[in-house]
Amino acid sequence: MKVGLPMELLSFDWIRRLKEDIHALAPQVELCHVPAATSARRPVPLSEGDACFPFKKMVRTAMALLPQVDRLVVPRLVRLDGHLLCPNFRAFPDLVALNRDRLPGPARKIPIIDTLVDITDAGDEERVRLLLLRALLGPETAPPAAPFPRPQSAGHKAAALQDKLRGYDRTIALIGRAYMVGDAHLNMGIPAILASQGYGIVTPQDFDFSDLDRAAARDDYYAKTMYWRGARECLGAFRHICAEHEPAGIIYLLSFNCGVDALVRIELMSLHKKLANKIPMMVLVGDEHSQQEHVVTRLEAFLDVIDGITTS
Amino acid sequence: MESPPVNRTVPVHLGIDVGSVTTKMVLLAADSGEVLDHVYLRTSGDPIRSIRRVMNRLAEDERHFEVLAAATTGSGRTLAAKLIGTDLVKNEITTHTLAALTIAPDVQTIIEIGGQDSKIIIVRERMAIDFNMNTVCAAGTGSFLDQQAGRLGVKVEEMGDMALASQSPASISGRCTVFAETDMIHKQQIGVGRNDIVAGLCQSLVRNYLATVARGKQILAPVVFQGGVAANQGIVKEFEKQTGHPVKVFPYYGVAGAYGAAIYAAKARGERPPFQGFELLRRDFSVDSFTCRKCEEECTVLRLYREAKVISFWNDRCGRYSEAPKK
Repeated sequence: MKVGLPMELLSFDWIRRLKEDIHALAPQVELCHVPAATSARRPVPLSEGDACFPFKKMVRTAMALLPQVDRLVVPRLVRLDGHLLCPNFRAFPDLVALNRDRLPGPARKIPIIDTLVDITDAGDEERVRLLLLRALLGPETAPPAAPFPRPQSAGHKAAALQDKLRGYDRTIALIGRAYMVGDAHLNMGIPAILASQGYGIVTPQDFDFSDLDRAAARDDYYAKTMYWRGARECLGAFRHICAEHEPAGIIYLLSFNCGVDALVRIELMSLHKKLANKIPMMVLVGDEHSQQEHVVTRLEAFLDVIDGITTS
Repeated sequence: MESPPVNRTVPVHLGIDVGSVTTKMVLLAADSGEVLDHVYLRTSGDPIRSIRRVMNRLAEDERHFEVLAAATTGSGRTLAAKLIGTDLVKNEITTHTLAALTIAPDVQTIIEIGGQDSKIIIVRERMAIDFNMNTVCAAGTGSFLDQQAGRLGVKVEEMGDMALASQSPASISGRCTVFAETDMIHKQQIGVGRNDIVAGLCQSLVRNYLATVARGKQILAPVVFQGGVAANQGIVKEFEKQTGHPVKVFPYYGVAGAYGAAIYAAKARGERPPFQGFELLRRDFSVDSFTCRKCEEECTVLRLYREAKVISFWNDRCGRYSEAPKK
């Protein structure tokens, strides 16, 4: 059985663990994340909603996967690690279904698995896991004996980061939502450009979310707690990376100035001003750069600032 | 086309800034750093032609220049570098900083407004520490002023004096060109004078710049204003009014990027590839592009031809073409 799971969702640790779980429990399932080469040019769906480009890209990937699979898994992501995700994720399955229903041919009959994912603790994980497995494999599926895969330990992540940075004298903190930092199309090749210039990259995803969450909690001085998971991840990463990794520069990468990301932008700029060590910082907004050359120019200039190239 | 001079006896460093609207060149004496020549001309959508015109000017100069090192900058810097055969390619933020620091070593804030770009560069203790550039919106740039000058039926060069003559600047939106045009048409319709409309435009451009480019960055004096728009005294005065600091406009403000590139060339150490700029006068060069469909990136790959033969590729993110071994 071929099952589609859009590649963009794999940026979430929980989805990667779900993938691992499905592999272990149902070897007959072949998971597909990237549309086949023939549909590399993803058709623009009839309706993408009023959302950021990463979300639209995710819808396009899902639609391009549909004709190639027997089922499509697009979970209704509401909450992970006890914190809310962008509300667009809640509507994601509906938007895919809306477009699927308008497709010609057999693809319009492909079932969509849209299990609600609202997870705060391990009990939620097991409950959601079983619901999803039953939707995928059949309602009679028994609860698995083995527990749901646990996240990588902080020690494992630290070792992986150490490996990643081996050979680099300097690092740059690339802070952004997981799907921005992890997708070369969305991040406009920034990690590759920085690496080519001799910089190791440290991202929020190199750390255990619980560590970042704790770091972010130091900034919970609003009338309400900062309850968006992505925002907590970025805020926490800024604090954690600046304190522990002495980056040569910080880049905050966002898709566009949506409410949450605009707030995080202000928060990060404010935190940056308070840093004792004046590390250069730059904000890059994906939507504001229609050409990659624009991004390259800014990166070059940013690296010149770090290098102090204008000092005579 | 004329042949290049045989005896180039004045050693120079060359800076070329190929912008979206204008192409600039600055030539520095290698021994003194003195500006020996500078050019400011319209790119007119044909950077090869504009660079060729620059080369022609160099070739015709009776001083017989010998280019020791050349550097390019601006949005067309990669193409320019390939055409003249240099490996010194630098972004415009750095070159503008180099220019400002050379002219005003104590500069703390650089405002640069060109044809389609606007930038702010924060300098402290002779080092750029922060910067910002406009992005997709060109509302506060030279092309915006050009467009509005055309609408008002005035020359862009006259706008500064017109603005200074105004006693009551009109309120014009600077948020985007569409809104600004709507406002301007409305003001014209109700009989507001052109000087007041132009002064309003200058006000709105500066307001837009401070809100969207400077974005709260700390503007400290000395403030240096570079780029073609610095010719507009109405804008200069408006910057002084809105920032509360005197704004200095130095000679070569319009070619500051090229000036910085020439300084960068002069500072470069090590052996440089031979200067090939005069080849442009002898041989035919052209450029075209194609969309690579090998992956979802769909890069627009650029291709440079000399005498109808492809000699270089660039702009492919994976290096499939640009880094392929030469056949």
